[in-house]
Amino acid sequence: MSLTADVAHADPVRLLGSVPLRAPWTRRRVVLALIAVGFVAGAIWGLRRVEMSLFALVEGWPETWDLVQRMWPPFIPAEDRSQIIGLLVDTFFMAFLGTFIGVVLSVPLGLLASRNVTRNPVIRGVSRGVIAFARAVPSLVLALVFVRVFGIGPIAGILALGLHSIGFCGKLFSAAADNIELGPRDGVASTGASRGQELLTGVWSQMIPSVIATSLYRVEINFREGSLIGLVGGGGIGLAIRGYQGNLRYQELLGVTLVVIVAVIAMELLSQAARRTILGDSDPFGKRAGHGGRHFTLSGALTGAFLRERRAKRGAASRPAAPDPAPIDATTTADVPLAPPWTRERVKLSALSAAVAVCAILSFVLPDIDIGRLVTSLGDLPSTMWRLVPSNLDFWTSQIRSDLVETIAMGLAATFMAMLAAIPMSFLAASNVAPNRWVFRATRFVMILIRATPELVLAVLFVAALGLGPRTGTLALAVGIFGFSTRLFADAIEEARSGPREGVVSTGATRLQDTVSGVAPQVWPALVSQGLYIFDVSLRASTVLGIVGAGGIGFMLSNSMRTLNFEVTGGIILCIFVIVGAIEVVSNWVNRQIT
Amino acid sequence: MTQNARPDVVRVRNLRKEFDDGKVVALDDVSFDVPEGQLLVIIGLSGSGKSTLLRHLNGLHEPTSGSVEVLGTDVVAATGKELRNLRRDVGFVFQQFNIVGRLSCIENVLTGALGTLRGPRFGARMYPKQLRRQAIEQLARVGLADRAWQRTDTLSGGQQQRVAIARTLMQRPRIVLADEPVASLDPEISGQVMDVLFRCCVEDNITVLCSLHQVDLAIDWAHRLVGLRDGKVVLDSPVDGSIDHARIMEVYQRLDPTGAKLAEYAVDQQPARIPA
Repeated sequence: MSLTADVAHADPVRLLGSVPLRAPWTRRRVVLALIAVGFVAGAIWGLRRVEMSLFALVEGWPETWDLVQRMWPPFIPAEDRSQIIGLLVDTFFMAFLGTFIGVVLSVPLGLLASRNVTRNPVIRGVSRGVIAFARAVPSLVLALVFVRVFGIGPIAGILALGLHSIGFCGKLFSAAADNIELGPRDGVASTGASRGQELLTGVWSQMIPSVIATSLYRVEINFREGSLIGLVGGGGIGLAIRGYQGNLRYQELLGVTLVVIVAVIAMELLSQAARRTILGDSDPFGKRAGHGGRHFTLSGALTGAFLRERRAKRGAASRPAAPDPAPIDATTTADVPLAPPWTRERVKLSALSAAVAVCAILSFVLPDIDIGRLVTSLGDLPSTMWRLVPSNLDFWTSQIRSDLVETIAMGLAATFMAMLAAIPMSFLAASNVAPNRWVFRATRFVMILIRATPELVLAVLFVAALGLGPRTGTLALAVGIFGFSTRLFADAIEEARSGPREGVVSTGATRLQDTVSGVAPQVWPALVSQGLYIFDVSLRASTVLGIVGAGGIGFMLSNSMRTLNFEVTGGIILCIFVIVGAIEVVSNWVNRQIT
Repeated sequence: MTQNARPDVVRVRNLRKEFDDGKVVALDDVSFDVPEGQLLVIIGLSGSGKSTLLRHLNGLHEPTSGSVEVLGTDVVAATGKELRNLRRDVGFVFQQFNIVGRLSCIENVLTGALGTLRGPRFGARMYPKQLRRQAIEQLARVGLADRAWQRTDTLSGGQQQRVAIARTLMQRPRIVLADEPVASLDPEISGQVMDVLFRCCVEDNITVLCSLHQVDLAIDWAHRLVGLRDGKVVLDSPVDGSIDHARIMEVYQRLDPTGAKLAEYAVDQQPARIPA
């Protein structure tokens, strides 16, 4: 009523004149523009720093083609086949044991880092620091160190995967503890339960789906990462990659690369099937199970999981309660069993526990993995980590500084290139926007193949074709990240609601206009925040490329370890931690600006 | 005010609670006693301080000033073990049920026995058979024994609240505090749930302090009504047979003299009546 009155009394002509024809420069718009300009400027600087043009892939085509010819057809000699299978089995058990160690260490750390469980801010801060540190240091870097301390073989790989997993699992576990519903916990507390009882019944029982999903998903990631650990001597299929690369046997190199790709995809499908069977809709990582790939950002996984759970709960609570008969009579207790019946859920969980137990037993009998030594090595971990702490700033040389800058340049340049390609490509890989089903399926399939190829394996291949140096590394990283980015972007696009699009289409808009005006405005904030995550991933990946000679700080890392210069290695690791941490602070800030 | 010779189990004196450094006064000089076995209903509009008051009685909130004595224990001074012992004797029924949805009904009911056990428990089989039998009996009293092993979040809202009531009964409490136990349920189910709650408590001779915002629902059951407005007690009267519509309107008047909030509330209760 009052609104119409206002309009009626306003002077239409004066009103018209006072409305600007351009969008006003609000604080938000200025900030967003600065972020965009800053990113593009950084990327251009990065591309120049690594002396690369956007068309490097085309320029290097003759050499690439030459290598492809030397590689074709892929081939694995008969006498190597049983060994390759053995290495794959090793890789699986490395992933399993690494995840096991990671989860066991992450549960207490995650609880200590959770606001809901730990009241002491110092303990919480320290736990968060440990988790952040574990996340920032790539497993390959840890493996590099552990191979020197515990010798060549899977033990070093398992420990590296285990420690690095803390970063992922600990973060998700503490978030799970932070996101529980507080009501049920109050309910438990109000019965007079002790603190331990309250934690187990009120908190832990709510965390279980997240813990199962995270652990199963981590096995999948650890298998992918574990396939590279052999490149620094840490056991698993990477040993075969290193062997063929060293002997310049390119046909075999391609052969084993294809084996890795197939195995990684198989693991992905297995882990996904297990999560879907056990958790159904509440699997935070497998939302789009039907498309046969993974969907992941830390925040996305978390919010997704909890939104879905809450939605399910709200659904249950608001279900019409009609079937209740008017007066409630006491029911009989005669037929109620005292032990839990074998419901589907119980069967599934028991099957999972049985599978974990079988894997644990099998890893004892596996010839290449010595569990006794693994346990004693675990005890040596603290002293090893202590040796890495630099006692002075001698590691801070101009060489290190320039390599660190190069690493950042590589990360920025690769992210920029990957995103340039991924943004258009992701519109083809999103089922709700793709021109037709076949384009959608073909794009998704290619992306699955690219994603399944670890960046470091790409780097090994690219080094063989294009030679050593940061250009090669950047290119390998860009291609690897491209598959991953396309997937993330496509998933974000598929989240777009159809209502606003119907609005655009009903004005007579074309398909392209619909995509630009109906879809893009809905999804761009998600794309920006995924882009930040991609930069974070790409930067951490760029720190290890130097291990195979593809530029960045990785070369100094492996060099310092070769000469057993623990303090220099430790110093570099510290620098990586600081850089990754700084980027996290910046992304959090940007994320706050766009929401 | 009551002629009952039974001893008082709750004594509240000059209770005051401020939030945000005194910017909000949730309770202002509240005093009352509750004799054993009484069914007391606290009424008031949203924000009148009902929940805050109840949460003081089992130590979920600490008062700014004043004293709270429950079953002979000084709740304000009690800490750790003392407070847990008190909570074992004081059951709490929440508006949002506060059951663990992922667990089966029987596991949620068994939670009520945690205070009598040492150490954490996980899964029904970690509780003694005797307790499991008792839990099933409590579920039977609220009419849900056949759902014992079903996940609680698959039940309807009214059923979930009955599981929560069974959990509270499992504690064998001497007092039950119920904070708007039916506010998230529709009116018909509300009546059923209140019926179950009060029937069981009368059977077990449990003292009940229940907050409600529907005066008419309160009058069916209560021995006594206490009305809160803006954190102050504005009504404290026994409920006898003489309750009629006029009396209910008078109670409303005391809770909401201007009628502004009541009108708002009435609109909330009867949506979708748009005149043509």
